[in-house]
Parts: sequence; C-alpha cells; structure tokens
Amino acid sequence: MTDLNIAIENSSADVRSSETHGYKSRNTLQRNSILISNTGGNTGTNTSRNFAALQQHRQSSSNSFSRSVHERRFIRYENTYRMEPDDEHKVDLVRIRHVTTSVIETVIAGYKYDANQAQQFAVALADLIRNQMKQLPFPRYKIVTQVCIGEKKGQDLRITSRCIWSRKQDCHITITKETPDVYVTVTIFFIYTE
Amino acid sequence: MDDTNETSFVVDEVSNVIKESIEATIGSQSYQQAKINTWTSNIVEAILNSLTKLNKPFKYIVSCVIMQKNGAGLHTASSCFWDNTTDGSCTVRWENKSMYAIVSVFGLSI
Repeated sequence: MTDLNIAIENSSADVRSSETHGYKSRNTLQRNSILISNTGGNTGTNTSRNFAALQQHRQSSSNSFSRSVHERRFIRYENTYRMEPDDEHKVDLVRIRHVTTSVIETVIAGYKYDANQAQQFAVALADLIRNQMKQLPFPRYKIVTQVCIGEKKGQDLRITSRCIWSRKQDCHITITKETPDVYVTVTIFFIYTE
Repeated sequence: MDDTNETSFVVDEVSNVIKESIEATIGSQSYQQAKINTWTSNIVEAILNSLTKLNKPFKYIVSCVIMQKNGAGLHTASSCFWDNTTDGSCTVRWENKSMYAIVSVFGLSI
C-alpha cells in the first residue's frame, strides 16, 4: 500500500513539472507506467525501467489534463543579477520626445473632433504610441501610455499624476499638442522591471 | 488562491479607495479655478497614501483629470505594456453639477 502511495506521489510531481513544459504525451506515458511498475515493486521514479515495462504490457488509457485557471503557474525567470538598466539601455527622453511628437503631429494634423469617433481615435492613438515605444531599445521596461483628447470650448482643465516608484530607474514624459479646436495630451510612463 | 490575492491587482479594493478620496476632497464643492490646483494634488496624494497602506508589492501611477462642465467633450485612453497576470489598472469617472473628474490608477508589480 505504501509503495502505491509513494508511486502516485512521485507520478503527480512528474506530471506537474512536465505540464509546464507542455509535453502532454509524456504525462500519459508516465501514468501508465506507474500502474504497471507497482506490481513489480518499483516506486516509479526510474523512467527508463518504466518505459521497458510499458512496452511489455501495453495499456491504452487516455488522460488529459486541462489547465484550469487556478492551476496557472506564474513564470519564474532566472536571476540575471541586474538591478539597473545598463548604459546602452537607459531611457533616452530626448529621443522619446522626438518620436512621440512627430507621431502626434501627423495624427492630429487634419483632425476634427467628433464625439462618436473620438473614443476609438483616442484608443488607436494610445496603441500607436505604445507600439512605437516598444520598437525603441529599452528592454525590461513596462510602458503605460495615457492619451487625453478634448475639444476647446473655453473650459478649464487640469491633469495631475503622481507615482510611487524608483526615482533612479523610472521616468515619465508628457507632451501636449493643440490645434485651434482640439487639444491632445499624451503621458508616457516607463517603469523598470527587475 | 490566497497567493493570487496578494500578488495581483485587485480592482474593487482600489476602486473604493479612489471613490472615497474624490468624495472627501471635492464631494460637495463647485468648480473654482483658484482651488483646482490644491484639489488635484490632494486627491492624488490621498489615493497614493491609501494605496501604500495596503502594503502590496506594487509600484503605483495615479492620474487625475478634472474638467469644468462647459458642454465640451473629453476622451481619455490608455495603452499599457506590462505583465497581464500581475499588473492592472482601475479608472473611476465622477461628476457633480459643475465638473467632471476622471481618476486612473495603474498598479505594476515589482
């Protein structure tokens, strides 16, 4: 009885580790081999002997492990021992400002504010700027882009933001462009991920 | 399940924090150009303080837009490049008779 318990424990451990690597077929093989090896008194940890046993007694059983949300594993990256961006990958605000300003100016050039379309326009502009930022060589940075579009009707508006982050590694940039009847404010935050 | 609660962004909790801060600062006020500076700063500070008290391993970005009601239209959008499993955002729209407020909080896990 104890042999059986140990065998099943070991098999479940193997199943989980191989599941993260996505080898589904291996899962089924191992389970079959566990069932057989118990009769021979093995504890099921030696896979080569299990494969041999499998070839002698071929059982067919299908087991599928569907990955449910609760079992989803967080990916753990290996340690790179890097605490800060290295010199080539430090965020270059001048370049970012240049790129973003040109994007906004081309987009807003003939734009007329339309209440029905403005929502999609804002989202599309935010996506466009975020994709441009991804092209730039700043690895390990998370990017948050915020776009504010409004029509000018003599109203007052104030936009504030405040952050809790690391002053050395993280930064932000804000750009505002106007036409006679529309204004656009874009704020981009760069957050370093260790 | 307990594990996910501590290391991922919980939208409801943050949404409540934001609403309380807005109500406390500008709940019963009408738009005044002289005070708008202090209002936005206070809202953002109050939210940040409450968020840090939650004691979660996150970096926060809080952004607040206050606009006078004038018949003008306003749209905000945001696009983020982050880790979907652990990071999140929450945006709250609030209005009274004389102004609109839009507050966004982004939480990025360390």
